[in-house]
Amino acid sequence: MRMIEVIKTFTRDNKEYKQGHRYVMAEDNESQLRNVAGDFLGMSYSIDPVYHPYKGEDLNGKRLLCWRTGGIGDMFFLIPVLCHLKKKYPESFIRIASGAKQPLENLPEIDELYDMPFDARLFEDTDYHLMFQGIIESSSEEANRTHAADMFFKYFGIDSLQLPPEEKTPKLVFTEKEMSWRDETLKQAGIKTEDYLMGIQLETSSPLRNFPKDRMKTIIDVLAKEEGTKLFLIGSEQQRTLAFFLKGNYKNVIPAVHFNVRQSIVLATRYDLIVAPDTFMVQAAGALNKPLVGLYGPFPSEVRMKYFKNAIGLDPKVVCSPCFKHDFRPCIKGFPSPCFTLISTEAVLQAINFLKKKFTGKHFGFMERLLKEPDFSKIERYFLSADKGICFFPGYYRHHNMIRVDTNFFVGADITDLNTEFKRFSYPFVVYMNNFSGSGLQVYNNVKNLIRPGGYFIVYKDESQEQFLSDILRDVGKTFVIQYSEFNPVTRTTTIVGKKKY
Amino acid sequence: MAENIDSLSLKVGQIAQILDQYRVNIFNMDLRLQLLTKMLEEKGVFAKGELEKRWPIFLKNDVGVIGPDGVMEGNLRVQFFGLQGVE
Repeated sequence: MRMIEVIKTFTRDNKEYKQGHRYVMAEDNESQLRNVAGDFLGMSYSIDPVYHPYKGEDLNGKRLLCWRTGGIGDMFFLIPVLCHLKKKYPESFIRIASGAKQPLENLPEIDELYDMPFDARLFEDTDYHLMFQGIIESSSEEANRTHAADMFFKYFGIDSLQLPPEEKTPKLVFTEKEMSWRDETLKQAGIKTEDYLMGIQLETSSPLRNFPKDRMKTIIDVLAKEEGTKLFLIGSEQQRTLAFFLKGNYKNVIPAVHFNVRQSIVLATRYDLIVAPDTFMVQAAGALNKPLVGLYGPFPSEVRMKYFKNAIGLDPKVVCSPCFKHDFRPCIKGFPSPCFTLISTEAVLQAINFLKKKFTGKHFGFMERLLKEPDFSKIERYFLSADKGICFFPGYYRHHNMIRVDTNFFVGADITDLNTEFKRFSYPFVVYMNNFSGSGLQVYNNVKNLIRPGGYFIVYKDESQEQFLSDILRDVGKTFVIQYSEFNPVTRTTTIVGKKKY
Repeated sequence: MAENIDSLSLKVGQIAQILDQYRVNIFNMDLRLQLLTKMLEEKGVFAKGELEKRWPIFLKNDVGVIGPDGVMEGNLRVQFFGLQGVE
């Protein structure tokens, strides 16, 4: 951090730099400013002689100045710390300077809020200073395991272990003017009170953390067909083209790219559900206790979302994830980051539906169609005609005589519970498994001895599961029947199209 | 012929292009290395030591295989935060 002297008054990015004043900024910003306004700038000085770091002293009757250059999302982690400090030292005076101050606006805990770069005169009448740069960006073991809010608490010399999660979640304060702006904006966009409003954040500031666009498009395509649902595509002006591409011809998809950060946060107060990769919108949703689906890759969702209510974090579990990269370049393994390939659109949609069901009691239309029981009479006739068999069967299947071994996260089955009541002596007896990877194999090994003549494994056939299928073929013995079914994705029904005896 | 990869000063986009080809076509580890080597040799840019230094992560066996469908080897972990009755 440097203090730069201004030798002639000038204005840059709507900020006036006054002659004779010194401004505090990061080294990078200094070189940028010198490129465009070098003639107006004089010497630059280190801040060390005037920097008096805060190390947890009593702040009553004292003034504290904190600053950070950027990172809108990161500012949210500061809010709980400031609330804690003000509660502990009500007589303190807190000054904040930030390049991304939008989340801090209107907070009663903050006495003065400045933009970066700030006038070095603020140092003069302040007792303690704290520059909170590079706390969560460090790739230390601690930063990788600890929630970012806890890291900030520690930096301020506060032991946050004893604090309840509520005190570690950020809070946001809005003015009446902001609320009436929100209502007016939503009215103009044709949003009604009964509409289910979803906010979807399109991109992050780093390509490394961006959710694949093709999957985003699929998710939006599915949700846009839902009645009474309106989607706000949250982004900045740079994402205008992307937003309009994702919007397509859907009337209920609204690109919200012309709002500034504060306005996007204000609009979030009306969203019923928010879907976002690792951006400030995750923190805003957490602060507002909104149902939230966080799409995480390079970072584990825990260190960003642990203290939230009503949130689901989707993390890929691969050898290189979480990699904790703060890079502004794409992943070395490709773009979009390959770890995101594990977050399927189905998983995101199910997480979204899970939250909607939990808070409104209603499924989305796509899930209702999915859960609708198709006509199984034909299939059952086949069941009864074979001794033992395997059925390749996609989709959801329910039967009174079936152990439900559904390893799907959201449909609600417990893969470890094999005590479901079923009639062991009647036919058909079916084990349905929709996932044969990892834990699915374990379940299969536990239940395979339960299959008796007339029993079936119902397996979702997938190329990646060939190995498991050959295991099953071996286990069911020499005489078995394989039935092939065809799935109609429109009606969500399945019909048997072939049968082969072995 | 360029002596090492650095002298090529590959742009991020070019690396991504090479890796994309790599990702889609090759998923046997040894074959991957061989093909990547060959591909780079043909372009006149290869020095194996350099490659190992530059992209060690690709040459290790623990990098996670990306299959022909573009999906990486692994599982999805779903975490519920503050949702009562779920955790």
